[in-house]
Amino acid sequence: MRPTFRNRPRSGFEPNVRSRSNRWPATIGMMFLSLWAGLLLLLALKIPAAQAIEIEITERRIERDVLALYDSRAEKQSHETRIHQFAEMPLNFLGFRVNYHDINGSWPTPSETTGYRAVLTWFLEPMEAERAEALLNWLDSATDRGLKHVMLGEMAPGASDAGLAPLVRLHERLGLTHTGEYIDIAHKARVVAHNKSMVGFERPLDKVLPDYPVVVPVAGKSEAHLVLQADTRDGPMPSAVVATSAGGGFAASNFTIYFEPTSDRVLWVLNPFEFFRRALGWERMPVPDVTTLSGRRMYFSHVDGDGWNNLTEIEPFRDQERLSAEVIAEEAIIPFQDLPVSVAVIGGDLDPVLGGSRRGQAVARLLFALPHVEVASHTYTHPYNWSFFEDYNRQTEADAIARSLKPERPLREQFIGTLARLAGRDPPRGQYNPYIAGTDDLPRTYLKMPFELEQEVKGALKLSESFAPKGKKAKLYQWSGDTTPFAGAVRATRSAGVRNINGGDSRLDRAFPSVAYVPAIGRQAGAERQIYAANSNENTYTNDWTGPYYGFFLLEETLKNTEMPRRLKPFNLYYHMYSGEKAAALAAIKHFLRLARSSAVIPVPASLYAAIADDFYTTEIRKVDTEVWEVSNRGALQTVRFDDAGSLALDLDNSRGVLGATMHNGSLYVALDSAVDVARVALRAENRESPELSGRGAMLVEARWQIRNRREEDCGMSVDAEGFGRGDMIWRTRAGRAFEVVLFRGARELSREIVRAGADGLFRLQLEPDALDPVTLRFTCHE
Amino acid sequence: MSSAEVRARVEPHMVIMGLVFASALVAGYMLLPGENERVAMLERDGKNLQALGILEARFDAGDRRARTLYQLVGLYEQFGQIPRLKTTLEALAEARPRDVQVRRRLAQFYSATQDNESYLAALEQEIDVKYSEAACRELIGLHRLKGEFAKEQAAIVKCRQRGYRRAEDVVRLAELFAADGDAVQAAQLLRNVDDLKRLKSDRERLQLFTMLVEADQPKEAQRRAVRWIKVSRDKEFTLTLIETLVRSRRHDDAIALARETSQPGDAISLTVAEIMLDRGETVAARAYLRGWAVSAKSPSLDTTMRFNDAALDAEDAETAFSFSSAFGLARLPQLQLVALAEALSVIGRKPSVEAVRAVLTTETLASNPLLGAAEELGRGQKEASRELLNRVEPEKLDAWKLTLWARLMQETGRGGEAQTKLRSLGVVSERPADTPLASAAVPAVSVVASRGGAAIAAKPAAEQATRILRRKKRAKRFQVRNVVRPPGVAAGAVAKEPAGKDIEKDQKEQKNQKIQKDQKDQKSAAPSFTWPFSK
Repeated sequence: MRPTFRNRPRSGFEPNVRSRSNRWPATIGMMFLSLWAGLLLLLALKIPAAQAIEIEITERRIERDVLALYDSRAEKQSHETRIHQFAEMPLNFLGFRVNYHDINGSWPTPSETTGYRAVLTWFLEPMEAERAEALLNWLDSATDRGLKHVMLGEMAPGASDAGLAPLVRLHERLGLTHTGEYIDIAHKARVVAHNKSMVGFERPLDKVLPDYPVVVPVAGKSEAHLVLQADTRDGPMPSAVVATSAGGGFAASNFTIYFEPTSDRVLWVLNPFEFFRRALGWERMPVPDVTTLSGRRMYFSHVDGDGWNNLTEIEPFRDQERLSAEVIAEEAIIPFQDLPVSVAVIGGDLDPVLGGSRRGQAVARLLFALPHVEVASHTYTHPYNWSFFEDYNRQTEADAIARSLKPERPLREQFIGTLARLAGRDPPRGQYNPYIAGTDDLPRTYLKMPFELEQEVKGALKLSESFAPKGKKAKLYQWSGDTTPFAGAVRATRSAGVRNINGGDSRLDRAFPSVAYVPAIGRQAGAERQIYAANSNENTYTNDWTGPYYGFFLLEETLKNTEMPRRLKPFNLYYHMYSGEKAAALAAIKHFLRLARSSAVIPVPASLYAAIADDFYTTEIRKVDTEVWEVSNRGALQTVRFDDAGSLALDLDNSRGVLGATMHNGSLYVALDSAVDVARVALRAENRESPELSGRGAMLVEARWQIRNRREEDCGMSVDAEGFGRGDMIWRTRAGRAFEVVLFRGARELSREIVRAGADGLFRLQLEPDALDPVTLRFTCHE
Repeated sequence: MSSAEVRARVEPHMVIMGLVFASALVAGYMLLPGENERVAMLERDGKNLQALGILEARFDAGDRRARTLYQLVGLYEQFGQIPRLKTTLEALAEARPRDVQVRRRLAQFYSATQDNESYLAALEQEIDVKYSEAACRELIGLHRLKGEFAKEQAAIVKCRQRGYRRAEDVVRLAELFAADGDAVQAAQLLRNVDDLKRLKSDRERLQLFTMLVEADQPKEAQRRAVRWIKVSRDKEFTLTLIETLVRSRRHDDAIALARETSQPGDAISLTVAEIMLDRGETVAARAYLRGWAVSAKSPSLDTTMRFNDAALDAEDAETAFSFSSAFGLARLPQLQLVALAEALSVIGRKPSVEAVRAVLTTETLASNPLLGAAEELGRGQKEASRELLNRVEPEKLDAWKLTLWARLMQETGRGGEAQTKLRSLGVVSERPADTPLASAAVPAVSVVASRGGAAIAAKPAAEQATRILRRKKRAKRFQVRNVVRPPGVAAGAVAKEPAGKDIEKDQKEQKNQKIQKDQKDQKSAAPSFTWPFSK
């Protein structure tokens, strides 16, 4: 490590001051140090304080990991914690990965916390005094080593006075003084300081101030965002119930989220984006982004196979006794070949051994033969309750089957059965099959065979592939039921070589009016990660498919709200085959397909989104120079985002493996080139003359196709592209410059046109040929 | 042919047959399904498009009958034609302004389509037409969710006038009045709820108690408190009520409440001594504590620590030591042991100091130079003691520690320096610093009021708090009325205010909730929306 001078306030950019190698003799080093010192002094004298510079001479890894501690006795599993449900999404949005640790196990060792940026706690329920004290001691030692501490709620509820000393120290590191006082009835308390950008995010501070602990901010050591003051007989008692500092951040229990019991809804009172940004020590960094590709919001669609064989009620298919899957294929998939879709079949629906139908197989063959349909699996036996299968016991399942209520036999069946018995024959078998669950009362739908993980994952994927053209592989496994698979199940999908998705049920609309209902990117399951779907499906919009069936139209609200003011999620159209039963549901799906077709999105297969989401967790970022970063180990993730980037632009000349950039919501989305393993992203002040515009090529602003492998050529450049539908794209170059753009597939020329940039330096392409198979775009200067 | 001939040719039976035929024709015509029946039959047969066509034609022709509109609404719902559905429902509501069912359906439509403004207006109209508790509850909840406090308050008031009595919302109304500074109105509302025994949560009760105290009705507050406590037997809650009285400088009422709700030797009765100390009645408190110690049976750690704090405040280190010894010195936290050892050092109880010293850890000793200095001096190591004293910051010491510091400074030959420092701190010495302190049972110095200032401000506020208030070293939480949880949150992770009378109770509640949840889970996989569940 080399010395660092950083974190000075800055409003502009200055030339980089690079480090010197340590191998130089000390005297020479001293001379240079003196020179540097002189230069710095000169700069300091010349530059006004308001334009102080950042001088970074250390190359370092950006720490993106946050350790979330939780108490499994209050919140049984990591995905049940408030941290996961409410805080992880904003943290992901800011670029942070959250790893969970149960405080009821062993404590993380110092080496295990190396590389972490912060420890996050959100305890509410009292814990045993010994556990609370151990927690305080561990936090004391971890924060003493420099780990930031972000505390929502209480630090260690249930701690006795024995833990007072570390409690006091921990508060001190947050720039606060712990008093032990608590204001139970706060109607006489006054708000004496209120940062409205921090508190009052989705709901204003309640008029009835809730109870709160008295935590006094230390001047200069912390920034208090909400200070309440209660007059007591000892005088006014100010308390910083929301504060951030160099050591982390604190928000008291009742000042984080608000729960309204009548409507059963949660809203953030605290601005989680702003709070975590400050508490985790804001610094400009490229945030790995899972919403955007080639400068556009991603669109993907995936269909769970539930209801595949159901007869439709939709006219005119109803009279033809068509299956829901057939209706979906005919109405929502075949006519929209410019929009990829992942179709996931349930093995049991198609396997006659379990009760599946051969007619349904024909639909699967038809769909999987389509080039824009991705082969996927929605399990074999459709588990409803995944945890049941972690320690599976067939006998328990058999008991449940025996206990389940048999439906009443129709009168006609009873009558025929009676006649058959009178005639001395066996009564015909009714429609009822005890091994096909009608509801989620039983652990899975198809119960005939004992559960086997291998069959559930690999078997299901293989079955899906058996209906696809030869060589077309299954790419995705879509979780069923409660969508909370155990670690072993997630691992099984990994070893089968596919991505996984589902769960999360993201919504952000007037019925679910909080980002609290937008989930994290994924869920930690042991050492594995389950990837959540980016949007919820029609089941939740139709009240568990009980109606009204037009409810799915409301997805549009979530799509808008997760695009502005922050792009939180891609555009995901996620539904089930049973939508083919009801006219209103089908109408909603078609509405969104038309919306996707007319929107500035980049359609991608669902498995690509899942891959990008997976790689959010693997991406590594190093700051290598002032406003220069290296992004590596990023797999399929090809976009990084810089927030609050109004004054910034991409410095293409100093970047490597970068295709271009676009601004959205005040953030700069930088498109990386998947052909380059370690991308180098450099930024510059936007008001400077743009060096790359004087160069030969053009930079990507946005495209409906995936662009990669940029090659500079004599006068111009080439890129490879693939995608769905028409190739709409925008490039940026010097104003007035013209290019001849030729589109090839292999050696075959598909199209040729001449384009000229307008006064804004932008030129647009609308390439008609499809790019389902990769194509090459060659831009040649045309003067 | 003449009419006679016709008559001759027409047989009577032909006439009858003709009449029968004509009647059959008329009857057949009469039995043909009308348009309404045709629509119904089409719907029955799933020919909804045809049915919709007929109905729309009728609507376009000006048919605004409720039946037509109802059927149109049903079909638009089926086809997901939301704008037309909205128009038709609104037309229906306009046609039948007093029809509660139509109003409800319109409200449900607005709710389903998330047209919140219209939904709120529809709810208000529904309440105007006919009071409905469900509509009131919904209306109030929505205003509350959005943080529209004035509208929420107005909605509760309006609904109450129509008979709404939901305790949670009446309590909330009281809180809103209290936030406006109207303690009388707030107390009245809470009193009404409590009279019906519907004030169930500790927080609500504490609110009423506080309001009554503020409204200068401590006797009523006490009467209600005694009723609550006798039912709940909740120690923490009782202590909080007493503390509330102390905060309001109603010491006599606080003592009266403590006496009425305690047994000799329990945690509540200990507050009497704390209140005495708070009033400066040190001698009385000392006597009370000695009596209390005799009757105390199996005190908890928390109570023992409170007793020790009080005894040290009452300048009775010996009683604190003997009580702690009986409890088990090793069970006490190091911080309190340090305080005890220091107090015993001041009064020169060497064997007792040694006993406490034996359970102090090396780290504790290292982090408490004052105590270390006393120990070194005890061993005759004056120089080591002097060095440790250099690390002590007298500005941050309380009376006991200052006394010990002054004594140690004196005994290490720096008495003058100590006196100067004490004077600069605004401390008056009750005895000259060079007076032998071995026999003294009390700290030799007392802090004058003016000492406050910077030195005290640097200390945690708890150290300034009155003794009864100092009891609370950590956030104390009360059970809230509805231990409800945000959707998807684990049973234990209670939403707004965390529950918390005691761990055991919480655990029991959690266990019950878990059992209920498990039972529910067994019935169905609980497809609540908010936690991932896709079928």
